[in-house]
Formats: sequence, structure tokens, C-alpha cells
Amino acid sequence: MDHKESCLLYASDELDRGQAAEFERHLKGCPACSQRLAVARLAHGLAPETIETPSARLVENALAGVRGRAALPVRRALPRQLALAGTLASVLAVLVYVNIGRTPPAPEVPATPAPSLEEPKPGPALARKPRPPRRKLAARDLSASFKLRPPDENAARIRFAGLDSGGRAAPAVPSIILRQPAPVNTFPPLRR
Amino acid sequence: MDSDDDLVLRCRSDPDAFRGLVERYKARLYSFLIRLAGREAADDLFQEVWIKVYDAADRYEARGKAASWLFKIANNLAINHVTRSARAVHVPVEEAAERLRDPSPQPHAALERDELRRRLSEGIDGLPREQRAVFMLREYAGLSFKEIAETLEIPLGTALSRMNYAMDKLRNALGDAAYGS
Repeated sequence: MDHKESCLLYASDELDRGQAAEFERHLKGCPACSQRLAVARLAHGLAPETIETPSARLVENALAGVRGRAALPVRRALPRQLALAGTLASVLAVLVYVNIGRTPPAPEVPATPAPSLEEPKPGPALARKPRPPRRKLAARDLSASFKLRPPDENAARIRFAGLDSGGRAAPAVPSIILRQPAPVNTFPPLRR
Repeated sequence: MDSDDDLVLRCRSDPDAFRGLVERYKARLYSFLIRLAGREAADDLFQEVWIKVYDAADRYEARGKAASWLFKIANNLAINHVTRSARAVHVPVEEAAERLRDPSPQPHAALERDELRRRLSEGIDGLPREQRAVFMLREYAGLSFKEIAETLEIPLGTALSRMNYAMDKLRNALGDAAYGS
């Protein structure tokens, strides 16, 4: 350890008694080390005066940040449950959509004439026709429409609940079948 | 009064202990961050330090070195910030001096002291970052050189050498006052 290092350790009271005594003996005959020690002591005395206190708002913000941190595990638990509930709800919604989306074809209704561009004439022509009574959907109707639908029409639908688009047992893992467009060669032929 | 170790160990379960720790170290940590990362970053880093302290408190081993542990967290965050921004941010000298200057009339001795404080502040800001870190860990955090070496993960000789270089520059910054004291 050289004298410069000893000087720093002496100033910060980190030398043992023997080392300190030895350095003090050296100090008496060394103006450079005396000056070095004076600077160290002056800086040590002044340094606390250069310390700044953060504003009360900054301290409160820091405390609030940590309070928020402490509350995180509790807050995390709720969204996880909500996410699970949401997932279940969306699965149910898809199931309902898949089944209700396959409504039977509308009953034969006489075709209405195309709307005329002419001014409508007042009179009985404008009288509203009574609607035909709504048909109640029966399970049989649903299954009939299900089977009547061509297989490829349901190709992009998600298969669920172990049934394929034809109402037959599907593979256990739900899958999405997407129709691939026929490959089209868009590159011009190579010239030789 | 609770020891630093007690406060760190209790700070996750006891909000008062955490507040006590913040109150005890807020000024020294804040000043340390200003000096290392610049005033603009210091506010954000100050909050980040306390969040890190809170997160890491359950892994703290009580060995009477809470200050060293706290300043190591602060130093790492400040260095990361400086590295990220790829430039060492210094507090402008005039601004720092202005902040330290009290406009009220003072006796001659106090004015001299004020001038010395301003010069020291400028001198600290002018130090290379590694030397500044050692100086502040010694003077702001009150760490021994052995603790500084551990905190910065450098040999003791390197810590002492950096402090010696810092002292040479500060002696120049303080000017004649350094020789007269």
C-alpha cells in the first residue's frame, strides 16, 4: 500500500492502529501527504452540504409506486379469474353461434315484386300485407338443415363438440379447416 | 431507533418500516442519482430504486450493510440509464451552483463556505463517472473503501486509485482553499 492509499484510508479511519501510527510518523515529514489529507478532510466536510433532498411529492410518488407494487398480487388474481370466465363465455358463445347459425332455410314465401321507381300511387297497393305466421324451429328442422348443407359450405367453420359439418363424429381436437385457393401462376413464362 | 437491517427486513410487510427506510436514505440516494445520471433522470430513477428495493428486500441478508446494498441498486440503475442513453448526463455547472447558492445576505465566512461548496459541486460534476461513483459512495453513502470495492465489484486497489484521481481533480477545483485548510 502506498502513501496515497494510506492517506485515504487514514482520512476515512480505515487503518488499524499500527498502520495509523506509521502513517502519522510519515505525515510529519511529507508536505504532499499533509496537503492530500487536508483536501480529503475538506471534501469530506463539504460533501454533505451538496446533498439535495427530494421533494415531498417525489417521495410520496415513490411510496405510492411501492404500494401499488404490494397490491399487485391481489389485483392479478382477479383478472385471471375474469379471463377464465371470459374464455368459458366465449366458448359457449361460439357453440351457440355454430348451432343457431345453422338455421333452417326460410319457408317458401311468394316472391315480392321488384320496387318500382315510379311514384307510389295512393290506394290499396300500399296497404301492408299481413306477415305469414312464424314457424317454430324444431330440433328435427335443425338437424335436417344441418345435413342438407353441402359439406364444403361449412368448411371454414370451427368444428366443435365432436361433430363435423355433416353432424358426424369429428376428430377429438377442434380444428379450423380453411379452403386453399387454387394455385395460380402469376409469373410470366421464362424467355429463352 | 431501528437499524437499517431491521427496516429492510420488515419493509415488505410493514409500510412504516419502508417509509422509515425511505426517509433515512432519500436525500443521499437522490443526490447520488442526480450526480450519476443527471437531474432529469433522477426523479424516475429515485422511484425505480425504491421499487427495486421493495422487490429485492425478501432476498436481503442482514449483515449490517444495508447502505451498501441500497447504493448498489441505485448505482446499477444509474449506470444502466447512462448506458442506455449512451451519454453521461451532467448537471450544468451554472445550474448546480445556482441551486446551491443561497441568495440571502451572509457573513464573509459563510460566503467563503458557499463558494467552496460551489467549487466542490462543480468539481464532482467534472469527474469521470467511475471516479464520481467512488467519491459519492464514500461521501454520500458513507461506505468504507472495502464496501465500495464490493459494491462496485472492483478490487480495493482500484477503488482507492479512483478516489486518489478524484481527489487530485477536486484539489484543483477547490483551488487555494484546499491548500489553506
